[in-house]
Amino acid sequence: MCAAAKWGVSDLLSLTEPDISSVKREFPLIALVGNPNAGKTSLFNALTGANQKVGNYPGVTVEKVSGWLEIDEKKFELIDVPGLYSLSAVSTDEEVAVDALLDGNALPDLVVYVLDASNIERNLFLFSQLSETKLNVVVALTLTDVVHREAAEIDVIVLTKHLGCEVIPVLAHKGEGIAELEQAISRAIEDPRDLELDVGFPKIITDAAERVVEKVNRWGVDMKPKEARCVLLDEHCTTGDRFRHIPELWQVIEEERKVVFGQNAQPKTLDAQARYAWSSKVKRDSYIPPSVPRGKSKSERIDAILTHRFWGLIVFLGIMYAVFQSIYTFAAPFMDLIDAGKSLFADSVGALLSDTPAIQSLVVDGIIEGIGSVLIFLPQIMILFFFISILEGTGYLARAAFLMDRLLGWCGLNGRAFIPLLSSFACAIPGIMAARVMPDQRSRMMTILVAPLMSCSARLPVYVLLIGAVIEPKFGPVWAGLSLFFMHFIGLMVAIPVVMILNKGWFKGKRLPFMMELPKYQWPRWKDVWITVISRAKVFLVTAGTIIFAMTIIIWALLYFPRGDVNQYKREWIAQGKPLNAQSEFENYAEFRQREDSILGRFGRSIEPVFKPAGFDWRLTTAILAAFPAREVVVPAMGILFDTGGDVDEGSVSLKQSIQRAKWPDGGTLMTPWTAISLMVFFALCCQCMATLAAIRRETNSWKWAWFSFGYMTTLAYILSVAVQQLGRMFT
Amino acid sequence: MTWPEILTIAVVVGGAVFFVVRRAIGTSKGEKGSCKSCGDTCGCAIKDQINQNRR
Repeated sequence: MCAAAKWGVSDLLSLTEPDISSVKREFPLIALVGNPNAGKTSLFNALTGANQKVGNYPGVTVEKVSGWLEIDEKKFELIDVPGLYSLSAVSTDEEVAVDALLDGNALPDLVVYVLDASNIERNLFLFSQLSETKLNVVVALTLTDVVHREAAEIDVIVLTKHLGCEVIPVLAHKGEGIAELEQAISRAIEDPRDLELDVGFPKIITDAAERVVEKVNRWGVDMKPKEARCVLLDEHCTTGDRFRHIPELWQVIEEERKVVFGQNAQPKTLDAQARYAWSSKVKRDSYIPPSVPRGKSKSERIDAILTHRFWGLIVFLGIMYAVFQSIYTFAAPFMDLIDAGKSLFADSVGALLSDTPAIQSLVVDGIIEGIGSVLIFLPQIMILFFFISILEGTGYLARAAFLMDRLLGWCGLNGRAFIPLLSSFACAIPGIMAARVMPDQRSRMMTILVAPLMSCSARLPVYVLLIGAVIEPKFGPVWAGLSLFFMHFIGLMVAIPVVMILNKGWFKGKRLPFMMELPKYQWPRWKDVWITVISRAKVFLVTAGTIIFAMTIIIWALLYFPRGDVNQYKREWIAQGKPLNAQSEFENYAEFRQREDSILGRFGRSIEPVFKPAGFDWRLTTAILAAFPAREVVVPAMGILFDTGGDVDEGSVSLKQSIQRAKWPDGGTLMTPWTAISLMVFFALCCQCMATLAAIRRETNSWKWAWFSFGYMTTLAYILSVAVQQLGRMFT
Repeated sequence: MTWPEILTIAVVVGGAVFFVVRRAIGTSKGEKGSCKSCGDTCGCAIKDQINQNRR
């Protein structure tokens, strides 16, 4: 029977190989591909001038990122895809990468294969798979400096002969080899070549592939031996996609598979063995080892301590404590400087606007207070990200993940979850997205649900404010640092029982083993550290600052209106037996009463009974509620709510002082150490971030999990903060 | 309070309310730049996902 009659013209057309040249684009598309942590993002930044996040651990890039490259006045689109070990995608980030490479509708015009020179053998496995596609490839040989440090060499000419395409050594962070790589890219785009590697598959496989080609060709369908080999060895091979929906053709392949491998054979093992044998040979031929045999490498010697079962954990806790103590100590002088500047500015502007009290209040109590409360925490945010990027850059974070595997494994989570959880210490959203590195849906879901429990940088201002106002004056700077350290780990500690419960309830399943490459130790690249610190500071000021600014104005208005009856306040003042000639004191009282009678004050007081068991008065309650859309709002909200008002002439008092002075109506101190801890615990655990909920909804494709996160975190926060306050009362 | 004061406050507070509402809607839809903490990167990703779903 004529094939065309049986399948129809459209089916036959669909069997035509995707032709790269037929994909019409305005600018050629180039994909950066390679194993995780091979240096793709560094190269992407060097080629495009972009500032994508770079880290010395696998899994930094979890989605496709694009930028523009210009070579000799020609423009190219460059995409940086997540790292891959093979074309058989396991996790979601790998699926993103495979889709970017093999999507028939948008095949890249060129693949720049980023080959880690310090780990050639493993890196060539993926290369051997790529050679079986129609992709046009140029190799960028990275991390040659690591090989040189080991007094070894890579023979680039031999490597080029083996790989059958241009190989350009590059050191992206120093800009070395970038110009040569650009020229190679230009040549490869103008003169595309099909890679023809001789991986050295066993004869039984090559013969079977030829038979499949012959049989398929009889149906009038074009198939190449390497495609036949691919579908024979791996039934899920993407090359087979265009044949799979034609049962007759697929049957030919299936029959040949049975003939070659029998019923119980494992063709994938044969495939992997052949590829690794080839990559070992390439390494033997192209790697020139050091003339004097070397003992353990520096990384191995350091790892003997840093990944030790006991000492590794001690060092980890020590490093984390040092980081948080440093944040607290180093930021203090900068904070005082900003605080003094804010007070001076508020006093000057307040004096200028003294004829218009309402505008004066809007500008001084609303706008300047709000902006000042954001600016004052900028030094800490910058110091936090300075340390995080140093730990990332050295490769220590991968060791931290290794150490955490036992702890996370004990509660049923994969050790790989430490990377998304760690990202969540900066912001939950990239952490939730980084959960794509999880190898199975079950651990991915659990990671997404506990990622918002990690203490993100938006919580830092609350901790620092309360520790500075209450803990440090009473217990000293060491306890202040310890408190900050503890607050950053409370989320992780709570996450463990949460995961255990989820593991026993919704997400029952077998835990997969943790596999993660430990990168070599290296000095952090200061440019990357600088980029991270500046970009996070910019994000904090611009993106977070704008919403804080707007929310501050709204809170001010809700607290300023309606204006109360001053005569009534005077009568109350006199009734308390206080003299009216103490004008400043009366003004403070009148302002306080005014706030109690405002829209927000009335609302806060009506809700106060709910939060009173946790030790929060109506002002703290109102600040908490105002911060539900974005927790950054809480400090400026407290700034407005705790401002005693009417004291502009005396000079503004800092928020810390206002909090220390705050009283309950019965005269008792509002912010005791237990109330401060209770409030910090609430902020550590509560899900006060609309953007995080949107990210959970997006990654899980369901609002159900977003609301579940909100519900369980808020309930947990409330219960634990009430428990802290009540226990505290029992002991004091 | 004088009329110019009332007008100034109304404009400033109204602008703030408009901004917050617009940002809230943008965040729930995943618009670029609507993500307050991690900048445009994740905003872009959310937007991409929405476009993908539409396709």
